[in-house]
Amino acid sequence: MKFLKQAKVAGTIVILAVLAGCAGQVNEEVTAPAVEPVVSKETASSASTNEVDSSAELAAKAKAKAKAKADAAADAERATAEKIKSKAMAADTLFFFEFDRSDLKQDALNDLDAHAKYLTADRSAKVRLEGHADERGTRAYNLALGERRANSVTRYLVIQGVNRSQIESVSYGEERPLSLVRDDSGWLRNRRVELIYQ
Amino acid sequence: MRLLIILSAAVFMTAASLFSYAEDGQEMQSFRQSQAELMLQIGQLRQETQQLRGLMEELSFQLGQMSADQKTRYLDLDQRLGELVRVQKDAVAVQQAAASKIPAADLSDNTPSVVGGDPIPQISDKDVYNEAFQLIRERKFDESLILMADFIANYPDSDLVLDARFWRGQVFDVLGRNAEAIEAFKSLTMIAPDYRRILQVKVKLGKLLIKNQDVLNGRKILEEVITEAPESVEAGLASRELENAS
Amino acid sequence: MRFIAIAIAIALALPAHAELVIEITRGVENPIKIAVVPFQVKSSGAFDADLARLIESNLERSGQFRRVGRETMLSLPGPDDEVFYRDWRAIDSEYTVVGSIARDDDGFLVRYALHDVYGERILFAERVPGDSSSLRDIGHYISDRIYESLTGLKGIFSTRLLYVTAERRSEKDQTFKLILSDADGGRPRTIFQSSEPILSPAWSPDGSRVAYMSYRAKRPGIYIQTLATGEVKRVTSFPGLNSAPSFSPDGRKLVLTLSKDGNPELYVANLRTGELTRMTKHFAIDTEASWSPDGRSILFTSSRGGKPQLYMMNVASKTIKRVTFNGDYNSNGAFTPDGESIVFVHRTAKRFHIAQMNLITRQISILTETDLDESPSVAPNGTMVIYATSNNEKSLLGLVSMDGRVRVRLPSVSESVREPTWSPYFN
Repeated sequence: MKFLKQAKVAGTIVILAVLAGCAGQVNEEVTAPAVEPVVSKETASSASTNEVDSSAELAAKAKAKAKAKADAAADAERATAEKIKSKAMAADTLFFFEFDRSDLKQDALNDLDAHAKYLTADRSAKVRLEGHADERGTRAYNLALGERRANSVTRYLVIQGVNRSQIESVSYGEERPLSLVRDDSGWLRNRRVELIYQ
Repeated sequence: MRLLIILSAAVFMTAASLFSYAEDGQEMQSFRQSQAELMLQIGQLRQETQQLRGLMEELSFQLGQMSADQKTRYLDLDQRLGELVRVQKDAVAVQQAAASKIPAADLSDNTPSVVGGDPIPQISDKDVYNEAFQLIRERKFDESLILMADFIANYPDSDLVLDARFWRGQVFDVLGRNAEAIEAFKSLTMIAPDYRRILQVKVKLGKLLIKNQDVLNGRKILEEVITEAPESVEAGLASRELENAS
Repeated sequence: MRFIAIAIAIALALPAHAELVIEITRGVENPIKIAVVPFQVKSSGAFDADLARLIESNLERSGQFRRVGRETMLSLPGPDDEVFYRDWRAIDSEYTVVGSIARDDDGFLVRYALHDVYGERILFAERVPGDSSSLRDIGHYISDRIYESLTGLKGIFSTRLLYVTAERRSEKDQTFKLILSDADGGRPRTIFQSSEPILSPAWSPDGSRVAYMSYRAKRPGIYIQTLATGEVKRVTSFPGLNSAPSFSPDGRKLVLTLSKDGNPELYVANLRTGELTRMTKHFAIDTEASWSPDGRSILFTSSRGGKPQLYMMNVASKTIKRVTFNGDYNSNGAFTPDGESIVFVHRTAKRFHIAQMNLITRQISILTETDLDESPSVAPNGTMVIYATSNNEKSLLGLVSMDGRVRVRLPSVSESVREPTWSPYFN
């Protein structure tokens, strides 16, 4: 739990840093098209005076500029991807359920959205979902229950655009409890789906 | 120059396409959101159908049990009414016999029991009784209860009627239908105090009454057995029951 | 040389470790009092089992007997000595067992006799030959013979148990073992071990094979292991669940749970042809199937009614009828050998107990008082149920008689013990 909190704080810092970096780049992107027409007018007027020489020179200049712009766009894209990724990495990877239930809780959806965004942005990314149950009730039934919980998460991610092939899921039933505390506080933590990036 | 125009056009187009992509994303986003909502709703609906199914299963089970109870209650009532009518008839017949001084032997013509002259071949009371008894052996208790009740209603004069009543009580006891078992045994003690199994009936009744919290009456009956036939096996059983109860 | 022989004798005399220890929490009101006199050793050297101790423990564990303590015995006769019945009546022993062990060329010979103290006669006497590895088997055999002659019921001391243990170092670092032992927990032997969970062990009807679920390469599958050879055969390993196997009474089929088609459903696998037949179709959970002794029905757990309940399926027609109506959690059902009753996990007042229900009268009786009781399995003579229960941090095994009057706890030594399964008779 403590670790999770630290990870969250670290994640938030990363996000802030990325956001700050992005702000500058976004500005550049916005200003670039506005400059463009002016430049082309200038080149057009100067072209009439020194046609052959300057045209080659200008073309090179324009090429450089276009390249810079493309680079900027790529940078921006990379930054967005980074942002999506870090958001996903900061999101919760444990999703909890009620006793004998497998429907997602409302508070799980934001974190799942962050994972879904990353998984749709990077099709090479893969996750493993592990469904679990608390020790109450019978083992084989709990194994089925764990699977249904993992399936609920899978279904939600797929709807959010993730490919089924990016998700692998397995149920461990009540065999791998997080907490060994035998009361509601322990059981609460054991009724879960764990999302693990592969 | 031309190159420039193409370049700038390309830049514009990319920007435009980027923009439209963003718009596309938004549409996609809202589509996904509605799909997610749909998924959650289907989940809720499933949960609710399952709960409804469960409730329906429970209600139909209870209904089945209740209608079975109803049937036995009706049969019991029917049987008691039949008895009442018969007792009245007998009383009237005895009165008439006494009044007109007709020899008692002639009365047999008026009784509903099957007499030799009947041309239609009939199933004997013994056959029906045996069939009902066989059902008990096969542990088909519900069916045996119904058949025993039919037997009592159809052959009220049979020698086996008391046995049929006795076995009904036994079956109710086996099925844990204590109230009905108590009723059956109690009516036997009232209508047939000389029945050959009466001690057995009383021990059963006493035991059931104690089990059903009517300890006072239960003990009374068991004590009765001991005073009536102190040397019998039943007296031994009764004293053991009394010991257990205290 | 002599020193070595003594050392070996001492080592053999030590009790085997990691065996389950028996503790009776409740017994019948008037158990049969039996004195098992220490068996006379008629040749040099010690034996690695105290037969008299083994026999009295076996009998006592049934709840129907109570041992007469050795320290109260006035004499320790052997099978050739005269038994003075007066001495045994004095210490309130109803029956007395005397015996001896002697080594011979082929192994050894056990002789014993059962005396009826009040009838003042020998009920029977027997000579049982064996080799050194079968001393425990002979002890169980003698226990069965005594139990059968005094109760009229077939004994279960020569049967076996199958159970799973888990040793946990952390959430993801555990060792699971599938263990085969004697019915008294003795001679535990690991027959399969894995760092991933092992679940749902089940016996084949002839006791020669066991089916279980385990994960190989992080994927669950159902496997059948032949006990004599250790040979393992995979039955299924589909994506999703592969769980809860149960053999048909003829041993040719396995009913199991698969979720390859989206939901946990029951399937019947023909073990000869490999053919799979789907038995259920519902979006809820269907699992924990158990075949009836006559082979006509399958009892299973389903959440189709919102909560886990037991349902019965007619195998031929696939029609389904709900069986349990009391309580909001009834699962993991198993038949008694006569097919007339079922035992299952029943939740009442938020606690999980083992319950028994007569299928004809529908009368339910709750057999256990501990919490988190699960995995009931009925002994082949129908007198006892073994189950898993919990005590603080530990999972352990318990035994309860079918009428709930005898309860025996089998505390584990160190590991967490779960999913006990009672073997059929081996003959």
